[in-house]
Amino acid sequence: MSLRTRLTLLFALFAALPMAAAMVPLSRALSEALAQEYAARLEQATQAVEGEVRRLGAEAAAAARELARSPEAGELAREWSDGLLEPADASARGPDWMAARGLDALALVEPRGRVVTSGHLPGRAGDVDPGLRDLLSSGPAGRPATRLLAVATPAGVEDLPFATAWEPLAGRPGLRAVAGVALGSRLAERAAALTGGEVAVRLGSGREVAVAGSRGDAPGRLARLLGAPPPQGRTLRLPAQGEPVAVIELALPSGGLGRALSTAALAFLAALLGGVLAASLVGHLVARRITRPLDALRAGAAAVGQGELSARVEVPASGEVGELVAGFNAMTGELARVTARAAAAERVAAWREVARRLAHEVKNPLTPVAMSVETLREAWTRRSPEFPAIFDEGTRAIGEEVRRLTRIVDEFGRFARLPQPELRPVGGGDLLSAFLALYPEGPPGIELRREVEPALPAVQVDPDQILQVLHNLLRNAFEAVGRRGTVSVRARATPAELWVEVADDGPGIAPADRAHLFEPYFTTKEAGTGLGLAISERIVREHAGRIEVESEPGKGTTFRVRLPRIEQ
Amino acid sequence: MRRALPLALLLAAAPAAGAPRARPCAEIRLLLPAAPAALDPALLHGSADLLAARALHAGILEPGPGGSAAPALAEEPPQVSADGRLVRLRLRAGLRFHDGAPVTAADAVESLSRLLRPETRSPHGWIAAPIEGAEEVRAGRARVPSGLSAPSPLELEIRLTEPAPAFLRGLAAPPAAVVHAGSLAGAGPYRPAARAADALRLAAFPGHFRGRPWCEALALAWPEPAAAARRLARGEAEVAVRPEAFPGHAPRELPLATAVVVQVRAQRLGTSAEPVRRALLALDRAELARLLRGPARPLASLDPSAPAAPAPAAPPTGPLPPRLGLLAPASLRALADRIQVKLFDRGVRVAVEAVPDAAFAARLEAGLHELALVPAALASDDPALALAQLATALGGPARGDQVLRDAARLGPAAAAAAAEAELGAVPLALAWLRISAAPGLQGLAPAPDGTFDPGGLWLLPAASEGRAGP
Repeated sequence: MSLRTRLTLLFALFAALPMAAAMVPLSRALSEALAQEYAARLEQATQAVEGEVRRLGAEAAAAARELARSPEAGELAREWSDGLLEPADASARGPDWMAARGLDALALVEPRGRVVTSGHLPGRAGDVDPGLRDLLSSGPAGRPATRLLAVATPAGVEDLPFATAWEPLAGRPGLRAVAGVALGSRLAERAAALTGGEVAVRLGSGREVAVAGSRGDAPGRLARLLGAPPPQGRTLRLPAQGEPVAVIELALPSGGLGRALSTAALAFLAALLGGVLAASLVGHLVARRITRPLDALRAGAAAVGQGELSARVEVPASGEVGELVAGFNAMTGELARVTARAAAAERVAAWREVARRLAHEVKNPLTPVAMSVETLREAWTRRSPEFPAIFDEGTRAIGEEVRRLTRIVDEFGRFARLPQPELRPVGGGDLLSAFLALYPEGPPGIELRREVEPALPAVQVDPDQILQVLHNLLRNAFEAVGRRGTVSVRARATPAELWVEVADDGPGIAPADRAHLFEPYFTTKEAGTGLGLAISERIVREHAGRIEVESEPGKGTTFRVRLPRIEQ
Repeated sequence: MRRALPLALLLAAAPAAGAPRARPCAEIRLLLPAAPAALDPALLHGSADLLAARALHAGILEPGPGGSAAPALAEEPPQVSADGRLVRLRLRAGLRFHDGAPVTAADAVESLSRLLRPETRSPHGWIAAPIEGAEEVRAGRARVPSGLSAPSPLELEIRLTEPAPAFLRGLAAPPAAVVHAGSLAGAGPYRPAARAADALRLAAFPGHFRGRPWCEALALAWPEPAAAARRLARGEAEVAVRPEAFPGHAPRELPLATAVVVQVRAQRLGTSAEPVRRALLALDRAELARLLRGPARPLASLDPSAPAAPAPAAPPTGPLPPRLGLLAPASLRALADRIQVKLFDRGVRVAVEAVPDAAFAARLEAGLHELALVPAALASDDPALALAQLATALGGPARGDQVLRDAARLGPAAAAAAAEAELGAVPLALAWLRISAAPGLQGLAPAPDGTFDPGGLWLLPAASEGRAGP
């Protein structure tokens, strides 16, 4: 992992850790606050429903008072007491009065519960209504009470809970006015509207009378994980004491709180993510600022490693890194200077070596020349009779040595003036054909074998130089074999290269000499200049190839030229 | 006051008290229990329809004393053959309908045939059912029964499938009134003059077979009970024919009966129908009758002439369904509510569906109900005919015809008992109307069938008040 990556991650980690650590107590505090708020809302909703029930009771009591004092009730009571009230008439009045007053239950009843007229159950007129009888006997006039009354509904007669009250008819103590407001759908709808929750009205037996509103969505998994309160409810028993006539179940939705909690948590997470991203970006920029000189130094070091000893790092840096860059540049500068000095020294040494070699090579022929000249002068001076023979032999020897000197000078000149190769694509087969065409057969006593694969790949070469190399190797092989032996020329293709091998079964090369084979002026031959293999190795190297040698004393030597194939 | 002045002027010139038809009358304002729903005699339903029909239409015969049928448009009593199967009638000459067309025997043939034709949808086909060929007309294969013919413009011949003692009483019923074939115009003492949403004004028809009615106009209205009482008390109406009793207006019962029956539909209830019927029979029908406005008595049988006190009913023999639906006209809501409560006390929840009276017949005919509270204003006081009318209302024309034949063969009581079980009928109550008249209005005598003839109204000054009436 790079330094830049490590620095970026480190910055992100430093940003994330404190925020993540803060999230737990913050979410806990938030969930506790929301739970308290929810509990308070539930309490308020409960009080609102209780207030609504009380209001309906007061409404029923007021309606009973009004009915007890109304002229129409008094008129009916008079007809009833006078025996003039026909049942059909009595039955019809209750519904009209009830509808006119917007009530859900209305009746005029005798003290023992016998119904004179009933709005909520007109067909009960003439009978004792058990619900009304219980109402009259269980509480004083004017006090609201929750009672179960049988009422006529579109589906038939049903027992439903009512907020009821009764009052004696004014001036007619023999009759009671009863009024009631249903604890049903209207209560449920109003209570649901007041509380924002779901309100269900049930009978004491559990049967549902009405339900309104909605419990809403339950908190999601995330909200529950963060401590959002589950939906809760309250149950009101009516009446509060004794056997309940009705039960009001209130349930408040908590999904909103859960959503708030989830939203806060998600916002926190988003902030955390944003912080981490920002820290990562800052870390990345800082790391890049720090690592850019280091990268440049690394690149510079690599360049030096590849031989570019004068490479410099040109990057703005300060502090320790700046000192490091300056040190690097100073080092490479010094290295370049040292290298230049070494090269100059090497050149001097080389020239010295060349001069020494040249002197050595030139000196050798000069000695016989000098001796021949001395012999000639002496023979001339003595007027030796053998002077003609001596002259012939001496001048022939001098001529021989001069030719030798000429050849030595040519060799040195060629080594010094080796031209740059002119590369071009050449087919491997064509190259081998051109080479072997010059050797239809080996020298006398030497067998020349040709082992050339068909369809050899093309190579990018200067054919004259490569042919010079191959001629040199073949000539060396012929010389190594001597008067009798076998020389093989093999050519084959590898996936990446063209191999040309020149093998002989001569005496081989001593292991100690093998390391110096390609050094200039190294030779094992008596008349060699030691430049042939050096020139060949240089040519092949300049073709991005190389020369390998395998030799075993007494068995022969194989030189292998490896040239890269042209990529398809 | 608007009418009082010309009436007073007229009355001032009138003969002395005690002289019948001595004083002309401009208008009589009459309060009905409900709006007349139909003025076509073939389609009469309620008692208000019957009352209005008496003013607008005239039959060949009309109810006579002692259960007889007296000539009306007929010139003389009907001639019945010895075997009781041929009836010959001769119309009065020179009579005309309200539209001026002459009253002919062909109109009588057409009027009776209309009762049978399917397209008329008349609930009173029982009147013409005994006529030979009635079934062909009912089935739509003939326009006129083969036994009904008019040999001459004033002669009518009727052949019956079998002797039918009640047939002539049926001809005297208001639905058998003769109307002009084209216009349905009647030949009653009054003709329609103007109709409003809450009133119907009739004008005297001088071509009536009894001559021009004494009073020039009849103004019919049908206010709510309290409004009716106020109108009578304030002198804004002279006559009320309604169920209520109006103190101070000499209310008298008018034997124009309406039978109330519960129909238990076996098609909807299946095996529960009979237990339900028995549960209904076990109700206190006297108590239920008291919930009807006006005079009423429990109905013990579909035969209205049966004794008033129902026989104790046997308890239900099978389980009652937990829920029932009861269809009722709005005018019988109190009765339906009471039945609902009484069945609730027995563990049955009854959903009452009260529909406007005008829509009730159609709902009943749809047959989607389980129970129905069916009122039937009886067009005839003849037991067999009343039974046939009820059977028609509950089971259709074929059942009505069958019950009429059964009544002729077995007697009304036996026929009623069989019909009750077969039709799922629970007779509940029989109610009447009352007629109350302003003190100055005298001579209101109901006709033998319970209706009264507005053409017979006449006015006598109230001697004690020295007032000439409206």
